[in-house]
Amino acid sequence: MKTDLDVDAEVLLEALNDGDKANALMAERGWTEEDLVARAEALNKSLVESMASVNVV
Amino acid sequence: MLQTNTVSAVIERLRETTAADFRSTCVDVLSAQIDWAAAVRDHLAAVADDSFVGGTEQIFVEGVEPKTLLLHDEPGRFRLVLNHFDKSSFLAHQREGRITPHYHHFDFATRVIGGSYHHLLFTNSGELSAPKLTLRHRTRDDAGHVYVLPWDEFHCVLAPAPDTMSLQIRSPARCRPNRRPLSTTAKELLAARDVALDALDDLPSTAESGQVPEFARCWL
Repeated sequence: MKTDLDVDAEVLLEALNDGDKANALMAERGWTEEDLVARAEALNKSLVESMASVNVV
Repeated sequence: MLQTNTVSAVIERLRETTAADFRSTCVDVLSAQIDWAAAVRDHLAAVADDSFVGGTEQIFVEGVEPKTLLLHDEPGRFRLVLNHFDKSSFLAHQREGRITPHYHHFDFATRVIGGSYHHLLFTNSGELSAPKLTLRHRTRDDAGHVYVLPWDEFHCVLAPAPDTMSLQIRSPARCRPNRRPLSTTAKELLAARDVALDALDDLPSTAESGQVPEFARCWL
């Protein structure tokens, strides 16, 4: 997974899973809830698009 | 019925179950209120080096995390595997673009026995060989979570906590996996085992019942 996200994926995922962390991240970055959701969608998109081939493990 | 308090007892329970009851039996045994880190550590430490290396060579996948260490192989029936997420290795693979949605060549049931990870599940509106994926569910799986995942479900694990460990019960192969010849040596596999044993030692001693997350209830 390579992304151009402006936030660490782990920080973003923790925020998406925890309301208090989400509020803290939005306050720190000056983001709205829409900004947070946009990063979540960008992470999802980068994951799907990073599949150069189907990986069966 | 045997009391499920050791990995050997898990193996006995699985030997007795039918294919139709396999998933529910897996969830039942993995939900047992025992110190899983200690049970897995005791079992792994008791496996002979040759047996461990020979079995782990059959399941070890290079270039991804977690490291998969064989605890027991019941040919044609099931395998018990310890998954050990090495954080620094995971991040290196992630930077190289090797952490992506994937499916497995086996159904599995798993219990997170230490640490946590973020787990993303995808709906595939395409074919297995030409998937069209959209995110269906995102959750954080913590220690004590027990879930099953059918082989053809695309999923992805991200952001594991350091030394996250899970005990996995695998079904027989449902398809042929992509495999390159293994370059990892026996010495390296034994070193990975020893690192995992140390990490198991460091996990807190707990004995809690398993919890099945919402996303997995549809497969029980």
